Amino acid sequence: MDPGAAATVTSVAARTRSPGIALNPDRLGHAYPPVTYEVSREKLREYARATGVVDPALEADAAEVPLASLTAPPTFAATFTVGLLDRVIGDPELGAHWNLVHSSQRFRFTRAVRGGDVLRCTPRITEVTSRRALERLTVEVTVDEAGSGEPVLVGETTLVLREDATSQAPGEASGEAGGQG
Amino acid sequence: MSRAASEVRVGDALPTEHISLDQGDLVRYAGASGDFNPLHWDAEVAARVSPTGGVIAHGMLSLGHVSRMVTDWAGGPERVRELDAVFRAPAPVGSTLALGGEVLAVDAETGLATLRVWAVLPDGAGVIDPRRSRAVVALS
Repeated sequence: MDPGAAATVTSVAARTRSPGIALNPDRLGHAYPPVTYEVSREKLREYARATGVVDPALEADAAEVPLASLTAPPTFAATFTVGLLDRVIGDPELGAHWNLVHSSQRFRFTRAVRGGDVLRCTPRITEVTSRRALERLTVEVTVDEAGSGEPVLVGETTLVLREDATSQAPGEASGEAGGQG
Repeated sequence: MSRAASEVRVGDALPTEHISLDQGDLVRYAGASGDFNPLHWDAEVAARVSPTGGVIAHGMLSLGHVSRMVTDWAGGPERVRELDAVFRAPAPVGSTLALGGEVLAVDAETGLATLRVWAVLPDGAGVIDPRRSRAVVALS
């Protein structure tokens, strides 16, 4: 058989298997407009209770403990980093969809987040790759003090998107992707 | 109370702990974090898109518990400098997870300790993958 013809058949088959691969590689490096997040006492409390954190200062009455003396649990940062991903997933230029899992997460802290912090959170796409029927999308969120611009932390989220938003059978591709949404 | 570098040795284990994650815990986490992906609360959606075919816990909920364990060991949230988690096996709603950690390295100059951390299912599958998940904490 003509090797050229065989290659053509293979590439057609590959396209047929992966109709949903759609991430736009030109979006690599794109930064989205910053979002401002204010750290409130009630949101810190809710987060602490939801993750089993026991901190008497967070449970104390507002008249007893000033907001600025509260320190957030480290992963509270998810609320204004991972929490911004819907803007990225919804970006029509990127071509992402919600059939995805959360594959890895990193936080690097310059300092702990405190009650009353006003934070400027800027998401940027740092990875767009494809491997077989899976695509990896990494979004870095840089978090600074809104007033001074002093750095607070950087979050980095890697998502794995599977090939189609509706037709996939349960369990398919999960062995390779890992991850948990 | 912060933990002193002089008290910490490579190979030290963090206190282990077991947690169970029921549907109420996932709903509570969704509200607290703002992550309302129906994969974590809607069985019909999960049947179509979940890697297990059913509702699974947020990876960040398991990491929140691991982060709490590290924070308690290190002596406060301001001690935690880095968290680096790889989510591997999904945790089905109702799962019990064993949380743990061990000291991999202590830098006497900087006072930074690197920990391996994990959350595993009863069959040993890594929800927070023990091979690749780390925390870096500042000791006093």
